[in-house]
Amino acid sequence: MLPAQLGRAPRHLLVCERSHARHPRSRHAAHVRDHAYSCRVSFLIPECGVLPEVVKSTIADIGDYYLVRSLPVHELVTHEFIDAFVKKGSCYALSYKTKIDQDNTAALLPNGKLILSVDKGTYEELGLQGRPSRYSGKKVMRYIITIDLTDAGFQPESKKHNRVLWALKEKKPLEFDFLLAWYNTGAEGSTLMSYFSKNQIQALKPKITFSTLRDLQCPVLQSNDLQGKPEESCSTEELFEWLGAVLNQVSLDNKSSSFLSTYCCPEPNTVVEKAFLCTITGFIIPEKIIQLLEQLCSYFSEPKLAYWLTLTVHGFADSPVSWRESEHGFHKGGENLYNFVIFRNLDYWLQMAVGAHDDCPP
Amino acid sequence: MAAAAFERRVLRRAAEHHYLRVRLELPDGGARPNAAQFKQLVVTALRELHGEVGAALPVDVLTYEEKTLSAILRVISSGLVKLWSALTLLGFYQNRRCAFRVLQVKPCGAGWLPPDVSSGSKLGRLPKPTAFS
Amino acid sequence: MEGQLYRRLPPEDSGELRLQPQGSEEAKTFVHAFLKRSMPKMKDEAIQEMLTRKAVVLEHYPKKKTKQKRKKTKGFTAKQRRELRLFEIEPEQQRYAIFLPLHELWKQYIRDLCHGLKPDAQPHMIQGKLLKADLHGAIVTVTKSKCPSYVGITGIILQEFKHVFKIITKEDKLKVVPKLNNVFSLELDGFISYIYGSKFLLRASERSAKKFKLKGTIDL
Repeated sequence: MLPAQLGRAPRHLLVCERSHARHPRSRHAAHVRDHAYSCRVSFLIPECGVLPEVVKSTIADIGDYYLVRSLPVHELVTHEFIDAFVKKGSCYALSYKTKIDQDNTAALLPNGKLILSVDKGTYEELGLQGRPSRYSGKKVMRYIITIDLTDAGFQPESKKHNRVLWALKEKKPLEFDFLLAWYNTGAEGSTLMSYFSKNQIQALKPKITFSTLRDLQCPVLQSNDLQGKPEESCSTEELFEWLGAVLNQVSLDNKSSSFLSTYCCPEPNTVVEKAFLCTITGFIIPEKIIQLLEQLCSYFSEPKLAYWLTLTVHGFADSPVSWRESEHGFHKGGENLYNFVIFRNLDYWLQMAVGAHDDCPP
Repeated sequence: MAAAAFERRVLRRAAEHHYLRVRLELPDGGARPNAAQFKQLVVTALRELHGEVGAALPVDVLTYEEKTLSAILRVISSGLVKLWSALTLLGFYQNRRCAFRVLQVKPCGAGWLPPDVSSGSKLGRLPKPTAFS
Repeated sequence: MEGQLYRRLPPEDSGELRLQPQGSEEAKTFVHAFLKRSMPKMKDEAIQEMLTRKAVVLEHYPKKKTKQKRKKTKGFTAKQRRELRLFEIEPEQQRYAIFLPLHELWKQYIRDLCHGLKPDAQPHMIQGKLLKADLHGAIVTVTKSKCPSYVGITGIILQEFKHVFKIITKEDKLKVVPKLNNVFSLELDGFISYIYGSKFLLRASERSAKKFKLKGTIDL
């Protein structure tokens, strides 16, 4: 017999918010912006066979990202880099193929904060002040170092800057493969490609797949009712589960007596003839997701059959942060994702889910 | 804009089900189980470790791919540890050595990353051995 | 018995020995005088008592040396030392350059200790020597520490205490670095040794006699 506490599943959080996309105090864009690292964006539009041109062009313009092989971290704290990129736009960097629960990990946030999540041995050797990870238990095995690159005290030749440079360059040279992306609205300066031309840099395009799902069972949703009512509409949790099934091509038309699987679409539901599913995979920056979100909102500016559509964004499971600078850990799944359900009247639901090693989303 | 009222709900441990992405490892050659046999194997594993009570645990095989022997299982959250431990301790399929690899465990259905997400996601990691602590 | 002692020797004996025979009274006075002369410190009664002894143990007693109680050096107490600031280095003395000769001396000392410190020497042997060696004057660097701000401090060890090193850096700053939870490295002629401070919590004098165990974790 298993001990009783083993019956409890690991902690996880699902935060659901409901508001209106055009409401002046709506925080949907802020939530997107705060979630810096996303690896997959998918949206599902019921009753849609062909994508509108505007959305199509937004997808096409989702932007390249770069993969730089073995880039020493100290290159990210040099003032040439900070002046050319960090201060002139939103610069995103995330160490690639590093595992948050066993490797050292680095991330550069668009607000100019460099976050290093390092194991105990590295921390002791590195000589940079940090704080113990929140999820590493009584005996601390992981530390988080935050360096603000745009800080006033982080001038060239300042004591702080020299110390950071010395630590990352001489004391304990850290090197990662980095995913990089840069977004700026002003004049084009030098590009990441030319800046890192000495390093092994590779421009990558997001992978985009389209598919049309036929005769899809869709739950009925009421925009003003998150909890749903039996016989009337489905709740957010049910929708969330259903969405997972759709994104993974799970068959929904099971009978409850089926041997293999008893999962079926939540009640009540309607069958839509066709639904459009698009998935973008890559290192996708929030600015582009906001653009896409706006385009999807304007999809309803013309009368459409669909009552709602969804936009799902998955964060990197091994990113050191989830929302803003709140620490993220892998634990069992490392999930940090959010999902928008946009209704015809531009009401929206926002669902944010995190796993055991995460703060509550904002 | 009457409908613009703001509402926020925080659900803790609310997920009724947990999802496991698993892969069955078999020695090369020999028969591969089909979906029904796969489900049978999972139930056998549960019965071996947890008896009839375990075998009665409702487990759904949401997807199963015979070619790669990988599947997505769904189980109610209170049975996650039972299922996981049963899969881990299973060693034989039709008198042949076999092993289940639990690749991902998620509390929410939409949390899945398909295994073909090449850039960024780091899949195929075995959960840490502390998973049962 | 007394009569026997002072008896006149038989004439045949005295003849053989060619002695001048003495009269009984004369012999008595002679013995008294002799004893008095050879033991001037003894009182007459004591000598008399000795003569009454029936048996005299003929054994040599070495004079028992009265162990001189070593006078405890009347030093300072710890409190007085603190008050007098005996082990503190005055601020004007806290200059790196002053201590460079000390470092040279130390290098010479280690080279002598390790038989010239040849490049092909066994690191194991050097380690053993360094473990017992005096570290005053060595240039050390903090390579690992639980507290990141200690990392990177380099300088000459001026003083070694039970729990701390006092180090003077190139910037003429005197740093007090605890041994606990710090790892130091010292480099000499290409040999780099690491000192795990947590295992080194001893005074310099005690360390020379301590046997180090290989067991235990080196984790900070």
